[in-house]
Amino acid sequence: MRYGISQEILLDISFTLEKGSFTFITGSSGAGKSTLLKLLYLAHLPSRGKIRLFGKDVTKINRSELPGIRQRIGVVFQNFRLIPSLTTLDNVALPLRIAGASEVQVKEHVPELLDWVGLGKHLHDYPETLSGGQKQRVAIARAVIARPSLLLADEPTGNVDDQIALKFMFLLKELNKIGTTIIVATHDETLISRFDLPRLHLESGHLNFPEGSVTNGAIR
Amino acid sequence: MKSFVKPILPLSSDPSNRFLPWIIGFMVWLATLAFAASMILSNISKNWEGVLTGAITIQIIPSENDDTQILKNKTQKLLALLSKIPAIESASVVTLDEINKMLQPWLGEKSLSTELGIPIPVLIDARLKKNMVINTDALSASLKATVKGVRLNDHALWVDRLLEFTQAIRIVALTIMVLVIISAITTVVFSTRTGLTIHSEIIELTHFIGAREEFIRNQFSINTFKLAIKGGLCGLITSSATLLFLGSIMEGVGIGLIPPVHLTAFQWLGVGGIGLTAIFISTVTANLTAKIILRRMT
Repeated sequence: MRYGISQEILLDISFTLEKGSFTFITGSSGAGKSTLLKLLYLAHLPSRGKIRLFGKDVTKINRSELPGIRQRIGVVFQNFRLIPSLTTLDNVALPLRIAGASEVQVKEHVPELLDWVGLGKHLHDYPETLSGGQKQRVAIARAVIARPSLLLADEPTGNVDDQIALKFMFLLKELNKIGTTIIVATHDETLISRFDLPRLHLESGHLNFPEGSVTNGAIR
Repeated sequence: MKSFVKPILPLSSDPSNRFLPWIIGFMVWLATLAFAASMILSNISKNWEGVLTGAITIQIIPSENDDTQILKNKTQKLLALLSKIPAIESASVVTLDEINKMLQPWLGEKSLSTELGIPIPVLIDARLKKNMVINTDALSASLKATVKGVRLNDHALWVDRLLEFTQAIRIVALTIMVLVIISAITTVVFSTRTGLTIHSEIIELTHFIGAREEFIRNQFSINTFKLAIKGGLCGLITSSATLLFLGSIMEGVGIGLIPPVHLTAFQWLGVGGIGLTAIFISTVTANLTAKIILRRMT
């Protein structure tokens, strides 16, 4: 993968994630974690090689098929990327509305989920009035509201304190239990060490498999 | 899949949202006035054409030796001749009162012959039967053979000149309408482009969440539709008021000079149609602009 005519950021990367797995992507800043996630949520296409998602080679699909695949992926962005002009409820409802859900469904599911992440009293608040932790939970709620098959989180704990980071990880574990495949990109070694989960380690654009990081052949 | 959803992009806060209804309103106002001018001129030219082509005027210019009795005899001869021509429905002498009335806008209340002392010709107004053609050269020769110094005016030159004049003004009015439409389209294109640029980050986000192109396009077309309704209605109301106002003024001024200036019910529908067309064109333009630019963005 390369941007324009720059040198390649990711090189010779090959791995497979099983459905329902929970994986960390680790590596120092600039190692290519975000770029790898961008490839996975189809923000970019690889300059060479191929990516198979949900059984389809995404480098060869029609552009009209992209939205359908993207709707199966939930993303928690590094800086949350909440829409400032929308309330908490409307931000979280966005994937449902994009998928064509009715307002009845929106009114039924969104408040319930926001209640579950502890934001039941902030339905009509705007992002600028929320704390970092609250914004993060809104971002998570938005990423999971449409029940994605794959959840990607890019440095989700970078802007929050340890306690909230742990809460977030437990929330992801709960989602993983109900079958969502989860990939978390982070350089927070303390967080990684608390969970016995497989990891893909990126270093200067190359993928390493640290000893003991691969479990049951889930990653290869 | 539903493609219509609540507004996601904060387009209402865009600077273009403030001026777009005004511009559309102004364009509708201009286009409507141009259209109405074109229609009114069409009505007037039809009126003139109908009046002038359905009539001929015969003048008996009095010579120095002609007294009232001689003129009367000449007039009777001509009326007798005209009554025998099948294409002529009626022929009558235009009375002095009628001539004075026709010239009143220029000369005021004073009488031509009694107060101003101007010698005036005897005028015979002959009305032609509908769809009947008359050979004016042959008629003129026949009239001259009966009475010397008689002059026939079939108004053809006037009709041609008036029609040329109204046609030229109609072309100008239609050109104005076309220019107004082009300006409106250009404005909506730039407004939509600006919106797409300002909200590119949110648009990118919605793409990552799985939004289809039509979802984003609809955001712009629905927003433009709402603004165009506001502008279109304002334009229609102000142009209708302007037309009614001008009509009432012209009614007072145009006695004898210009036929009544008004639109028919069907033409008023056309005026309403301009507002609807403006709304339609603006909405479609926003949609197509978004489509083209989104293709480039993704």
